[in-house]
Formats: sequence, C-alpha cells, structure tokens
Amino acid sequence: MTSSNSPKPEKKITKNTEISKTQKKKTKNAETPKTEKKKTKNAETPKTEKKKTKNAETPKTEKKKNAEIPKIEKKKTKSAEIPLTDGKTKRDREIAKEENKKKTKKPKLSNGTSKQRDEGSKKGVAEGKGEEGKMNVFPMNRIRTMIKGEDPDMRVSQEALLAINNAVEKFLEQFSQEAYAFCVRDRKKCLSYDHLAHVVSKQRRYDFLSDFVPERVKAEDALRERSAAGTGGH
Amino acid sequence: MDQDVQDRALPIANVGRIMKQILPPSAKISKEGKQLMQECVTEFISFVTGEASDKCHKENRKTVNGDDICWALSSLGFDNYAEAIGRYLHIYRQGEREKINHTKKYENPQNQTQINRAPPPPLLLSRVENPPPTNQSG
Repeated sequence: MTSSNSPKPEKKITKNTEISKTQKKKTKNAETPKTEKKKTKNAETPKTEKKKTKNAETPKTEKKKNAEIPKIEKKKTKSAEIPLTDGKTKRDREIAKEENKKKTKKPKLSNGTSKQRDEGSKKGVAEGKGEEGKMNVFPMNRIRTMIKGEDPDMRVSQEALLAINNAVEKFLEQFSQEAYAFCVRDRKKCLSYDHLAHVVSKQRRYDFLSDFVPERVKAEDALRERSAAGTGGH
Repeated sequence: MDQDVQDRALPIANVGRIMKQILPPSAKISKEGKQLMQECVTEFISFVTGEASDKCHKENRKTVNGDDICWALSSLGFDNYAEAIGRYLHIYRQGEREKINHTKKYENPQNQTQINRAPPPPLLLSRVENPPPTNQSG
C-alpha cells in the first residue's frame, strides 16, 4: 500500500487515461443505445430521490416504474427465478413479499435443456445449504452464458462456476464497503456514482474498471487537456 | 435483443440485495449506483474468466476448473479472494465425495432385496457426466 507518488506524474497519467476514456465512451454509446434511455429514465424521476421517508418512497416509486417502464417488469420476473432464502431481517421479508406479488408473468426459458440445468443447479444449491451454510447468490446459467459469450470454445466446470459466483459476491461486498466509506466522508446519505468512481481511481486493484467508471471531469478541463495533448486538430 | 442484453449481465435485484446486506441499515443506494455496480460486477467476471481462459489455452486444455479461477484471482491482485475460494472449493469437493458414498450405501440394500428388478438410477448418469470436466490435469 505504498502511495508516494508526486503530483506531477499523476497529472500526466490522468491526461492519458482521460483521452482513452473519451474514445471508449463513444464506442459504448454506439454499441449500447439503451444506456441512453436509462439515463433519461433517471432524469424523469428526480422527485422520488428527494423524499426522505423510506416507507413512503417504495410504493410510489413502484407505481411510477410500472407505469412508465414496462421493460423493468421483465427484468424483475427473471430475477424472480431465484428463491429468496435470506429472510432474516424484516426489511428483506417485506421486499420478498413485494417481489412475490409482482410475479405475474412466468419467466421464458430460451431452451428446453435449460430447465434440466436449472433443476440440477437448484438441487446442488439445496444440498449445499446444510453443509456450507450459504447458497449461490447469482444464477449459474447466467454466469455460464456470460463466460461463453467471450470464448465459445472454452468449457467451464461446475467448480469454476461456483468459484466465480463466490468471487463475485466477495468483490461486490468489498467494493460496496469501500464506496460507502467515501459516502460517509462526504456526509451524504445515498451511495452514488461519484463514490464508486472515487474508489476505482484510488485503488490499483480496480484499474480494470477505470474505463467503465471514469471520475467526473468538467468539460472545460477536458477540453484543455485535449488541446494540450494535441488531439484538438490544429 | 432485450434478452441478449439482459442475459449478459447479472440480475440487478441480487446485486442490490448484497449491497444492502453488507452496508449498515442507514445507508441508501441510488438506482444509478446499483446499475453501475452491476456493470462493474459483469466486467469483473469477464476480467477473471479471460485470465483463466488464457492460462488454459497456453496449457492446451479446453476446460476451466476451480483452480484456474483461483490462480487468475491471485495473478490479478485479488489474493484474499483466491484464498477464500480455495477453502470453499475444498469443502465443496468433500461434500461431493460424501454424496457419492451416501448414494452407494443407499443403493446396496435395494440390490440385496431386489436382485432381479434393478431399475437404472438416473442419478448415476448425471454424476458420470460430472467427473470428466472436473479432472485436474497438472
């Protein structure tokens, strides 16, 4: 954990990274137009965030979501496939109840064979409860699909899927904790983009996320650095 | 198109739930934060899996197993994860052995009582398929 860098090289690093970041941003926008829609959705409902009371927020936001965004229901139905066994706290139970009410549509399975796989994975999970005291948090088929998306020829064993499932859970927990620490420093109540981006920029182990979560920079500063780097086109 | 995009990311409900569990009850998480975390987690899986896959290619193997994932995690700077998952895999393998022994014991009395009528147990087929991918070629 040695961080004895002088300020000058940091500036250089930021310049180089920012240029590459802007380029990649453009490619992302071209590849995934839906992300833009998500942003508009966030902009459409700014009022709900201002409300302080938690209980009041949940029912209204749900209604608005159902009315404005029908696609989210599909996502929720898919998430409904996973059995909710973490009912320890009351809040989680309430959330589970709400989710149960929303299970109006059955999730569509892409292939017939996926049913067998689901059953297999569920059995494994059920058997593992007594021994390990944990259950797999994310659906195994989803992880398998993501992995095969990269390298179709590569096979992945059941052990590897379990290992990745656990690794992701630990990664998510640690990342959330560190982001929350910055959230506390800023004395804010809601964990948001800036806190996650700050974690990524501060720690080296999260460098692989720097392209996805660049820290915010004002347009003026970005333009200056562009002109300084020479990409402005003289 | 919708399904493809959704299948390539982990469900956001699970991501949000884990974040709530690990953070104190007073913490709030914005929708933007959850979506961003969802993308980060997706990238993490690609990052680790890519490293493990490269190793298997170098060694002319076609199956990624748990040890490859542990190796990838340690080489990418997540040593504490690699240790924890190594212990997890150890427990998992013990559990698998116990299951096999249990089924053998369970099948023996059936064979004794009904020697002529021995229906083929479907579990054996599923288990026969499992061992090949888990072979550790050192």
